[in-house]
Formats: sequence, C-alpha cells, structure tokens
Amino acid sequence: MIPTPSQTAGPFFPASFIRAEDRDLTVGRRGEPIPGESMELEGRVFDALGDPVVNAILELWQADGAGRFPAAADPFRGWGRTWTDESGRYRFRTIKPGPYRVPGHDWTRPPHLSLMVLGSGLMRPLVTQLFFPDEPLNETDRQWQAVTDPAARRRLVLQPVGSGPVYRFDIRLRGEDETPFLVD
Amino acid sequence: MTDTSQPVRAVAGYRNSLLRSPARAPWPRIISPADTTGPVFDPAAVEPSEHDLSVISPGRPRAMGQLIVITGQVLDEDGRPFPNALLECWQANAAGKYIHHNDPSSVPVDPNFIGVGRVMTDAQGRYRLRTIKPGGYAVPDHGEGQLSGWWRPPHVHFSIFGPAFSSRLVTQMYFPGDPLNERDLLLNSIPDEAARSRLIGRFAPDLSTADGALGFRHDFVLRGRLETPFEDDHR
Repeated sequence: MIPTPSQTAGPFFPASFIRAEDRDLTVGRRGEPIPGESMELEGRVFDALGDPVVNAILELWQADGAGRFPAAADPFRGWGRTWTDESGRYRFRTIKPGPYRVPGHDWTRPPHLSLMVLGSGLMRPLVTQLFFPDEPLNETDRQWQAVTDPAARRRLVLQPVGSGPVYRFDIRLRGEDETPFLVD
Repeated sequence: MTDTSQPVRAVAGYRNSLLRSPARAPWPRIISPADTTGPVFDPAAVEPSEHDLSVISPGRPRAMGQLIVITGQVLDEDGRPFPNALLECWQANAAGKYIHHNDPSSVPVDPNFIGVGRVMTDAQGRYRLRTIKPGGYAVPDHGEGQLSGWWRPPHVHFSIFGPAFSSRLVTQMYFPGDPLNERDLLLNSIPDEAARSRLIGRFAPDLSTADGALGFRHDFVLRGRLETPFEDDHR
C-alpha cells in the first residue's frame, strides 16, 4: 500500500499539544526522577534569510543513559516535544543517552539524539541526528559515515556551552551552512 | 529517484516552504534502533471525550456547522492494523477560523468550538472522531493583509504516532468534491494523482448518525511494516 502522503503541520499547531513535561525528559512517566547524567539541549532555528523561525515544532527521541530505547512500562519516556519562541529559540532538559550495540551487527552506535522538525513551510518532516563532541565511537558510526561531507558532519555535533552540561544545536533549514537532514 | 507519492518540499507560491525547505538532497538514513523504535503513549492518558470536537464539555451547546463523523484505520504498508496509535487532530471552525494566536483573520470565532482532538486506535487499528465540517479560508498574503488569491479547502490536520520514530505521519484530510481541492497548493504539491487521492476522505452515508452527523471514511497508511511477533507462539 502507498503510504499516506505527508502535508505540512501549518502555522496552527495547537499549543495544548505541547505540555510542560514534554520538554523535560529527566522526569519519568509518573513524575519519578530518571537516573543518568542530566543535560540541557538548546538552540535556535533559522530560515534561508537567517531569520528566526517561530513555532517550529521539535520532537526528540533518544535512548536512556544505558543506551536503551524505552518500552511502554519504562519510567523514561525517551520522547519530547517543544516549539520555538519569537526568537526561534528552543530548549529541552534530558538525560545524556548511552551508546548501544545494534542487534545482529558489529556496530556500536555512539550517544546520539534524533530530532524531527515540523511546522509551517515543511511539507515533510525533517529528521536529523545529533552527536556529542569527542566521542571516539562517532568515527565508526555508520550514520555518521553516511554524511560523507566533513563540513556537513561537523554541523551534526553538539556545541558545549559554558562549563555546565549544556549543549547548543542551531538548525539552519536552508542556505550555505544548512543543517544536514536525513532521508525522512 | 524522486518519490512522487510524497509532496515536493519547495512549493511555488508557498513562501514559507521556499524559505524553510533544505536545498540539499537528504543524506542517507542508516536504519538503527533509533528509527525502528518510537515513543509509547499510555491509552489512559487520552480521555474518551477528546474524540468529540463538536462539544467542548458536557452540557455545553454543540459547535456551529455540519456535524460529521470521521472513522477509519491506521495501517502499515502491508495493510496490517496498528493498535494504540495516537492520533492528534486540529482544524478550523465551520467559518474557517482557527483558535490560535497565529490566525489573524477577522472570521468569527465560535465560542463552542476549539477544534482540537486526540484519540488512540483500538486493537483493530480503528479510530473514530466526531466534529463539525471545517470551513475553507482565504490565505492572507505576507505583509499588507491583502489576500494572496489562495484559498485553503476545508481540511482536518492529523498527526499520528505509529510504532516507530520513522513511521511518524503529519498530514491533512480533505473532503470529496470540493472545488478548492483542485487549486490547493498543498494538496497539489504531491505529483502522483493516486497518492493525492489518499488524502481525500470518502463520503460514507452508512456512517450517518441519528442526530444528523454525516460520515466519512479515512484510512492512514504509515511507513514501515509491522513485525509478526505472534507467529512463534504456535507451539
């Protein structure tokens, strides 16, 4: 069967679909604290003109600190959603994901975050993966290697901010230094 | 090769798509557990009343407009149903106005309509929504508040979470026979006609209800294939 075609979420995505807990993955399904190394992910979204994109919807999906993707009964939700403010800014609080072995393969994935961008002007979701700086496993990761342009690959690396566990990831939807997106 | 069953990213005449869609072709996605797993939502977190957009809360008057029922299944590419898929939907009121800070139009608000619903599919992948038929509306031009000459046909927005991060679907459902369908920039951004027709609900008189709701059937096919976890159980 042909998959249902995608259409843009448009400019009227309901605010009520974005709950406060959706941007804090350090809090479990029943409000319990999630073990692991907590971190902040922040950044801004820009368009082709370098203007901030307001109301871009960002969805995060990731493994827990032990490199495990959550199932229904797990306290860790692994999923978050937020949207950008008037200055194009977004922010998540989460747990740094652990590396994990891909079942049936001789392949260990480095810690990484999957991010999806939706919103007005985006006819299809934009998907990318964010990597951590100075992770030796990055070099042997097949997804990392599939982005064959070293300059593009560098744009997939989170930038540490200050001394705290804060990382910045700015998204440029279109232009010279556009964020590398993966096949959706 | 270009998949003509999905919309083009940059749509002529749709300014935000020209400013926001990547110029470069996407990089290959190497499938790993990050793609084959996905968020799991608790069915208990969705209230049964959320399937009915036509009434804000019990005892309140029903929203203005033609009452409709939309029902169908969420399926995988082999036609197998997805149970426990979360559907989120949102739409304009019968006059074509959204309850949203981004909607600047002077079209009247209906005090009895918010236009936001959620539902989870049952064991057969089925969902059912009750709402009013949304109105079409003129899309404002950017800047001076002039009209751009582009009208959106009546449509309902859907956001669906399947079993995997890679099966996520955000789309819109249109209504059969509306003359605006043929002129809409978003619907017609899908090159393949058969794929385009997948976004148009089917009028289903058999679903009409005693209180005057018109029925529409609409299925969603998510990308990916379900595993068959029960096959090993035939011991």
